[in-house]
Amino acid sequence: MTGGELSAELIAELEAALTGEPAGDEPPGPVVADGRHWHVELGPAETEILTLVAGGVRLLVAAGDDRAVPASPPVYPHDPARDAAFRAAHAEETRARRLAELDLLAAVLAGQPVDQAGLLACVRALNDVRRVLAAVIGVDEHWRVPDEPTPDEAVFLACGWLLSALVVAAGGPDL
Amino acid sequence: MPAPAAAPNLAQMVGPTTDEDRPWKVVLWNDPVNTTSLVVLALQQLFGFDRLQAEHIMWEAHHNGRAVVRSGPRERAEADVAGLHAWGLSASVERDA
Repeated sequence: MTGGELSAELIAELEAALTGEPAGDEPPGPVVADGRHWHVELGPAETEILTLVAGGVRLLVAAGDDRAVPASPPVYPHDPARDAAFRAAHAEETRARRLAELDLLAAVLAGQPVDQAGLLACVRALNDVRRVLAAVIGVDEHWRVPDEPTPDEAVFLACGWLLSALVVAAGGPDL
Repeated sequence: MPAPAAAPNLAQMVGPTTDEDRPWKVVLWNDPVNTTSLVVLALQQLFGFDRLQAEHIMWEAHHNGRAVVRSGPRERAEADVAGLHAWGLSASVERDA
């Protein structure tokens, strides 16, 4: 989904950002707190790639593309009719929420600060992007971080790195 | 001296119990993509759990494949599942035994 759209230079910069050893003091994290607001500070390559991928996922969600709906177990495992009714009842609300949160994520990647509610929405949106990528890559319980990630895998890892920082900034644990 | 009154029949007072009366369990499923930290944050935000409660449920799902988050009326259970879905988590509802 993303490989053909990324230049080798951008991928190399992203991989360096993911695997490179920090020189001297530990650099500040990508999520910066400012009073009751937070903003994200990424390098240009990371910003460009994540914005591109989040935009791609948004297009899929807007179009109702099946690739934007990672598989999930039925809500009513023993009642297909009730399961279908549940999904139908929530489909439009879910779609609208995902689009709004992906729009917010794009704005935050562009430097817009957010409050606590916005930060949580960004966590959900970035996780949304990450889950779609995981489905593309085929991440399952046997998947391990590869020594030489493909472009899609590199972006998946970058999403996980930023997601961890956002979760901690939102008050979640650093497990 | 009047005879003591018979004990009230509680079953008659509250009516028969039907399947619909039984609470519904909200089940969180393990999945290979969501991070442990994200799951804990979601449980804290959605249900007001403290970190220990949220971690307990997360680890139970992680190790056993599933964990019951809480039980209640069907409408609330469905709302809980919708909330978990909004965080990208896998969840279902099932009747309490």
